[in-house]
Amino acid sequence: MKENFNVVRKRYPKIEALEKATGSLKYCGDLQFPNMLYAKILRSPFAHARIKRIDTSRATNLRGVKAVITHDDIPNIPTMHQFLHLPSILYYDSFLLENKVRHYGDRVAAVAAESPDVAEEALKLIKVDYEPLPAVFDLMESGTATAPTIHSNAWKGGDPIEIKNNIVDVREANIGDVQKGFQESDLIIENTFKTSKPNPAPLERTVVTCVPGPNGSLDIYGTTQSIHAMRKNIASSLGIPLHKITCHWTYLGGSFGAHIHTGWIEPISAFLALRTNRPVRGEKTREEMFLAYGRHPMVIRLKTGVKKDGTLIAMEVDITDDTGAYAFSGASKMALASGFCLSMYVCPNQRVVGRTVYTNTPPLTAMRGAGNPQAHWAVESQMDIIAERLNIDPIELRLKNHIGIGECFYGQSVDVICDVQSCGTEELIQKGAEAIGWPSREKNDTEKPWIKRGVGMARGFHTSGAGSPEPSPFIMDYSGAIIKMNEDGTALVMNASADAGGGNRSAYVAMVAEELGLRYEDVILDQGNTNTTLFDVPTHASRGTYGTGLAILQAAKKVKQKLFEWASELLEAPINDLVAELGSIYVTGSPEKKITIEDLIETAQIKGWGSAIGEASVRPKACPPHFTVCFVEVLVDTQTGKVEVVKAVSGADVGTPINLNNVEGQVEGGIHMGLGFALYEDTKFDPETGELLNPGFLDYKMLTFSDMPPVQTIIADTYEPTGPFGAKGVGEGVTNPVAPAVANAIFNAIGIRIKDLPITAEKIMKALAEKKTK
Amino acid sequence: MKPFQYHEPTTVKEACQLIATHWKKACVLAGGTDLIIKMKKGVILPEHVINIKKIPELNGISETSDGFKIGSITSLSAIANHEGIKAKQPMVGEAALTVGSLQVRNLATLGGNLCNGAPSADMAPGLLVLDSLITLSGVNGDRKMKLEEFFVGPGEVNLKKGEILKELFVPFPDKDMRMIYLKHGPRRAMDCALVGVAVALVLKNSGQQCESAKIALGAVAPTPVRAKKSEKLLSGKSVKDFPIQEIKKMLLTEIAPISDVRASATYRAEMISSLTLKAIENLVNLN
Repeated sequence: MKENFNVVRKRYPKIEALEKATGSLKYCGDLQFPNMLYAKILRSPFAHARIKRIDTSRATNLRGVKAVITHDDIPNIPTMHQFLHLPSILYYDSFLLENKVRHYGDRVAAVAAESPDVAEEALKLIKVDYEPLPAVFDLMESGTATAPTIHSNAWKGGDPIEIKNNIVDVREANIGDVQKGFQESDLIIENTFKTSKPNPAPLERTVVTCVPGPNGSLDIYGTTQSIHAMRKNIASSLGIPLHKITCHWTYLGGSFGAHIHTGWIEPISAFLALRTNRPVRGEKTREEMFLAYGRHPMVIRLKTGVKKDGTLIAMEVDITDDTGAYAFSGASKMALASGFCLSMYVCPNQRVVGRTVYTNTPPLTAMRGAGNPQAHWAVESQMDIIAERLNIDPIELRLKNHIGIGECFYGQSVDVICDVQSCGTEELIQKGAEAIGWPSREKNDTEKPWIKRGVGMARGFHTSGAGSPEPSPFIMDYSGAIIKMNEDGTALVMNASADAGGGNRSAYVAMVAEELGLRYEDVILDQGNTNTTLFDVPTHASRGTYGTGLAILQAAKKVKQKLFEWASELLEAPINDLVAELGSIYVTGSPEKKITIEDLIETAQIKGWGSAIGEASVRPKACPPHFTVCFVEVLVDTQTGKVEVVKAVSGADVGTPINLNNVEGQVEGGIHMGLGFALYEDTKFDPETGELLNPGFLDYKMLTFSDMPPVQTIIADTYEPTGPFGAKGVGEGVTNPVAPAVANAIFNAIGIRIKDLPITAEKIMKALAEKKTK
Repeated sequence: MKPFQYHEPTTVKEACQLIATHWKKACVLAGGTDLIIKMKKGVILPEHVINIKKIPELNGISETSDGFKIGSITSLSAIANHEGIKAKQPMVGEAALTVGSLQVRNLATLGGNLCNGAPSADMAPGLLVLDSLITLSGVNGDRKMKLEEFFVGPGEVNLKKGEILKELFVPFPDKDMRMIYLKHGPRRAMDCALVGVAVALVLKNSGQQCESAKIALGAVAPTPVRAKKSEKLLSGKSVKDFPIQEIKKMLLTEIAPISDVRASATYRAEMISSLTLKAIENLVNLN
């Protein structure tokens, strides 16, 4: 099904593109306020230690220092970091500053001073007596009775809970009878897959400026994926009324999950601003970025039972998930990974067990895919292993078992379920295979005998938001939009959803222009703040275009209804006969009977009919998966272990692409991040001390432009019935299958199966040596 | 960044005097691509920073009858783009091109790359196999030494009180010399070498006979090193008779790699063999 669109499905520059390209766009860190102070946080040199005593006197007396705070000064309120989940299950396990530190770089004290240098200097003058405690860094070693206790208690919702053996939570889900399934299987394959700890590493570092106003109010400008969630976070962590805080919207220089939660630097800076009655800016260094975020490493044991013809009969998944020293989102990443494992293929008997554990490493967050890159790594590697054992083409095995229209999809673990209503998987697999030259995977030799060539693929999906037919007991999905018409016939949109560079705001402009018959240039998005916009959950879960898009479209429809009512009156024609196009409203079949929207607004004002304004608040009732496939061609140097990805083909089933430029941008960025996950990106810690060993871009390797292969994008011809103009998400789905596609290509090239990420040259050399001795 | 006193000498003599006066308390600033980062991080906290970039006589490449003179503050970009070097010592230009990004190479200097004393310095192996000579200027005049003698240990070079690196002399190679620098890192750009290998072979008889061989290795010992024992296994041999297995073993006796966040010692050792053999093969097959 394809509608005829005037604006949608075409190519536009992002609305802020010129400002970004010329450097005139003001990001959070560009904002300056008179009398601003600078906050810095003293961080622990130990991975686990009790703080016996802190002497801040020398720091306090340093010229230019305006405040020094420790655990003793902050509100006795457990802090919380996100407002995605329902209040009853929100997880609290930290304070703004701790009296027991739980990872290298944990927060001990904070300073506000006249300059960053003075603040830095003051940190050095704070004397701390630590009592070092034994620490545990490995997720498999934590979660046992012998591991050192990281937390003994926390709060879930308002209730205190006991933490045993560092286990945050456990989950279990059963579909059918997995034991019976294994009994009926012709082949049972069991493997353990491990993932690494990459950092979202957005270009823009976390920064917040808190400006105190009259009567204890605060204006806050911070890097966040949701100004409304940030407001709740800060109000809750400081124990001040919500309405005292106004959070202002700014563009983000990337995020990838880094700003889905509000960390500690934001409420700490707010606290210091209130205490000093001066604007306070807190800004993370790159090292602090590496100490604050990261994709959860998981160990996933997968047992799969299949029939000889490749039909999946049983799948058992056992997940151990590492959240680091604090659980910003409880055990949700593990729960998500569980649900995504179940959703990969149709299988009548499935069982998932999972546990999330604490370790004495920096707390981890969502990162492009929220549990799903981990699930894909395990399942899509396993699928190729099965194909190999059964001597079935990996493509055929996937086509036989993939989920499609009418099948059940677990969008946010088993708590959020929706039926698949659009699916482009088959089209994408077929076109992708053609584009990469799938049959050429038989040819592994190159001109150089030591360089082997391989072709591999993987498929998958990500959710589009977290909506479900009934409100979920687990997660909130909600958006609000207001649109008002200006007197010159342009439309102004007021909406809070964040744009981290993905271009969802530009998609809203295209949607409003399409619905109201305006040009793309005639729709304006106000940056706004928490006072001028409606509540909107964070831009996460690839929901920007889909979830917020639904509210935007709904609001536009309401405005259109009003405009058409007035036009119907003036043109003396029934509403159903009216069409809006290029800023005017026409009567179908009589193009001479028309009125410009500009004149219509003016007439309505003169006659006192009212303002052309529309408001919509939407809880999306589905979370349609956007399906993706990834094909890669690699060259493996068997003398160095180096893997070169020479071509990538990425297929994305995004429903209607609202703006093709943005979709392609997301696809290429997704491949980049996926290849980083596959080959390079990992944070490494000293196994003795827990110190971060690669806290910067010197030794944290991301692909540069010259490392990127050419990416061919294929967009499926699909239409999502529940989506705005038939659209689904795109942000995360592309990344998910990349790492297993690379692993599968490497196996095709040299017969080596790497099961733990990243696939470094060193691991390949080791595996090649082991293969030789066998 | 901690405050410091900034100096901007315009002559070598002035620079040397400043360094002597503030010995151990001063850092020399050339490109600044390493220094500034270390200062920002507080790894080094100099009280004085002496910028030698305003000394014209330290900058530039000149061709003499028997080689190139390269001033110590010549940028890596200038070296990579120099037509004479590209024609006569291509490896030197290619090594310069492997460093960082274009922006880094525009700032970074030859002297900085060498004076940092990094075992992984990309410029070192190539210049070592070409038997480069260096000139150091001090308060009491100049002294010359082989580049080989300049490296002392990680971060340590043979500079005495009041001395700076003035220039390098890179002699023209034998007309039958073939040379190559191979750098191994995970990426195609913006990497420190996990290992670096420079090989120069003088091949006579249409490339069939190896008259002399020189090999230098980076990032596998406390300093960039020449692999002289391995070189001997090649010198005077017909290329058909190169003792490949013996070279592999011999190379391991000439290095002392470490394990760090970038790679294990085992992998580095393995890569030294792989890369050296790749380099040799590459040169031999260049007919």
